[in-house]
Amino acid sequence: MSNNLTPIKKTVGFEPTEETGNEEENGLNIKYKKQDYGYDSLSASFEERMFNSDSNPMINRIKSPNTKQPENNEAKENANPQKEQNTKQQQKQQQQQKPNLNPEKKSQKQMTRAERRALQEKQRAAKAAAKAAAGGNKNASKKQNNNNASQESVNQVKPVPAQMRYDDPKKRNKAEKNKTINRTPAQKPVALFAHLTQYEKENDIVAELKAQGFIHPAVLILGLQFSEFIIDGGNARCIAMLNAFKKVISDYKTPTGTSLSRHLTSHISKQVEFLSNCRTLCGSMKTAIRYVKTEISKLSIDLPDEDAKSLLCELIDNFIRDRIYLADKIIITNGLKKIKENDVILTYSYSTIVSDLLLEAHQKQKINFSVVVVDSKPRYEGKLMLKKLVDAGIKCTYILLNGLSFMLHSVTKVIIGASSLLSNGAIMSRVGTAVINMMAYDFKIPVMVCCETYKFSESVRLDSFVWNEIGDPDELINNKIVNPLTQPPFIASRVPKEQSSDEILSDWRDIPQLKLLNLHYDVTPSKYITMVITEMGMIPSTSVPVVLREVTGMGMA
Amino acid sequence: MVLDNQVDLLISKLKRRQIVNSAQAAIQTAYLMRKVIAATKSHQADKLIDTVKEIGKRLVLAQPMELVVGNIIRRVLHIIREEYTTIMRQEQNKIPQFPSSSSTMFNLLETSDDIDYSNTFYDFKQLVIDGIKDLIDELETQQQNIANQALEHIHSNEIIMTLNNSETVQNYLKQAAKTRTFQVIVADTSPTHEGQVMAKALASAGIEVTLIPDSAIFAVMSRVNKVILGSHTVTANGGLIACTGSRIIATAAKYHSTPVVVCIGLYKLSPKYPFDIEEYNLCVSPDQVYTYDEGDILEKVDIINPYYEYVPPELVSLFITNVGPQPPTYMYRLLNEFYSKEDFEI
Repeated sequence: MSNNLTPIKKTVGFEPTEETGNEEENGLNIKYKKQDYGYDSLSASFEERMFNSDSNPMINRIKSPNTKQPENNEAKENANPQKEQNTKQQQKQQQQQKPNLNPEKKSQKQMTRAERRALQEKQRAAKAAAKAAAGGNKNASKKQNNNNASQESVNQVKPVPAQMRYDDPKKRNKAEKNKTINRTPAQKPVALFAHLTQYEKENDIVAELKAQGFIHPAVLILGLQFSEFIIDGGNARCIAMLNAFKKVISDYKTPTGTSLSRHLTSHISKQVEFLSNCRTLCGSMKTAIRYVKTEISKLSIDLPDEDAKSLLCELIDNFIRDRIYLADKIIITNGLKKIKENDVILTYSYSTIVSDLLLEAHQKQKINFSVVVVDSKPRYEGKLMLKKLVDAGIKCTYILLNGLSFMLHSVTKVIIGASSLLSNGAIMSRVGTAVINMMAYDFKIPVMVCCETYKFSESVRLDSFVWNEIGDPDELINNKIVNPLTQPPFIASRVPKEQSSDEILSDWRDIPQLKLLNLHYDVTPSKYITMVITEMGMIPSTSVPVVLREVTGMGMA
Repeated sequence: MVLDNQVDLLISKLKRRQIVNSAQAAIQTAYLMRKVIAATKSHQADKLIDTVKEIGKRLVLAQPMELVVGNIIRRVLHIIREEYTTIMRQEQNKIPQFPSSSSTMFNLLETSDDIDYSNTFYDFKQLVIDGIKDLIDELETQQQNIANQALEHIHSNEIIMTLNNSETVQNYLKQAAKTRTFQVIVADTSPTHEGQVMAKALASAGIEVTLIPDSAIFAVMSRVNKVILGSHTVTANGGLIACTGSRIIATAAKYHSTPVVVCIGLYKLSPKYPFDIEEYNLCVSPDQVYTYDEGDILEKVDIINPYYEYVPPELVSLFITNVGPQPPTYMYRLLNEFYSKEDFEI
């Protein structure tokens, strides 16, 4: 195990800028991490993290002085500007409260080096928090950003994204200005969701594109596909986006006067902005974007552009392979252990991982089980699932969400997919999943969630209001049964003009008191979830922060 | 048999589900019963009971899920028995008695099998017909009675969730909206989409309405103050047989500790106990769930479209009835108020 650990140690350090000396080694190290991933046990990586951690003063004390010496010097160099500021601050404080602090000052001198470091850490954290609260000094916080990326995430609380602050007119105007597309605000917004973006469905989203956006054609196409739900689902959207980024990167030319590692990030950000204007990003995409950006910032300035670009493309390919495809394979092998003879498995809507798991269980393992597919308005995606399973010869029952209690008496297990897993153990998934999970909990049926760890998110949600995606309200008035198998989603979601007058609510826009709410996601509290099947094993949903810690510690996200 | 063609007409209407509205089914049954009593030549109570029971059986069998029909038959039988015993006591003893034999605790355990219904009394039939007339009045005014209590239970700026299109709930909310401002969230209620009708009606009455798909019930429940539902039937234990989706909404309310209020006329209270939940369900055409013209896949799949659903009494906080608010735990006691024990099984 210790042999395994040594190569990772080098890359885990908190100062990416320190590492970039030898580019080849850096690349190799990253590759090594990728290959190692999945076989390394959680406990090993945890141990490794514990003993490598610079931020923990306790561990610094445990370490022998010999090993500590060089690291400390490095840290000192990095922390120098802050140290100066810190000492100045200390002096100020001391001047203000002279009589009280005098004895303490003496003791500070007598402190060991480690103790002083711990104190510094503490003060730095306090200062950062104060800055964040005051909206503070941008320059200083930027410096800290560059110096110490991972420490920043520990010490600073992320600001609330502008997409969740639309009830604040200032924030809204600013966000609207930065948008790459002009979008029509919803004519009849739902008041409870005033803090979120609510738009009308655009007939031609590209026509609304603002002139200054340097959007790559591949991303343009992708944005259209997202907004029309031609590409839908967490994995599919993430893979499509990463593939588009590969095209963006390989077509990228560094402008004169800047370097690839500095400029490419902002270029990618613009593409991301465009995509998020077309349709709100999902949790999986955010992880992937963060990964791409971190990898770009890790690139050495000395590396030729062509090499950097091919390295980035390779890294993206590795991400898709390791975090999505391989992860899915391991999840399926894990999940197969839980499907038994004569099970009645209930699933909701469509999820690639769940359908793959069920197909594998039926075709390869020859397990005899039946499936209840639950579906709901307005997209009826469960029909895709139904078609796949029935074609494979699995015995299926199809019901709408409302008929749930009729079927639950005979169901033995619930297996669902998820859009993202949140740090408080809640699960964010297609709207309706919470209903399924709650009812299953009420009927005392175990609920299993299949989810790759790259969908784990650091954010926490208590309800489905704070963050959500609000869809096209006109989808709800269509009372005809939509079949996504035969109708492409962009046709299915719209009611044809001649039909629409038959619908009960065809004139809903003329009734001032009536509003339609088409939510895309909901949050299931962790208590309804029996377990989460991930590529790292089967875990309770409350373990999300633990896994996140391990994954970020290994430098994977 | 008396009035055969009129009985057959109602039977066929029930069978074809031309009457789905419980209130209509109840009122029509009551009118028919009044005609039946009036047309019966005999003045003997046991003869009347037999006739009513016989026609009642046929009506109940016509549509076993329309439990209100059976309820009205039981109410009519109860009226006959009550009137008869009152007259009997007056004739025999000429002294005042307890007003009603079954509505007091004192004779809960008393068996009433030994009452002889064969005596003939002058103007007995007229009393029964008057009793049925009162019943019809009750049926026709019950919705208004329920709506009149609205202000006692809805406070201003409340967010209320409901589903389906219950006439009683609609009137109740509209009545409250006359003097209070509040919001209503209506679940769409697939596959009938009756929720849309409700949403439109309420919005037209000036209430601020948000329509959501059924899948968002849990997501939105955290902001809801009160869930107000209608129901098809109340069973003897205080449970509901209501449209599909009611159980989801009630369960979600339970997990958010939101009170669930059920507006219901007491003619819907059935002495049936839901031992077998499946017995009280109806699976209607799956065409609404998966249209027949989508072809090939249909042969290999079970597509189920249940119409009703059982909601256990522990999910209900309060019944608002035409005789005032009642807790679910009290419903069994009300059975004795309206029905005679010997009629629980017709």
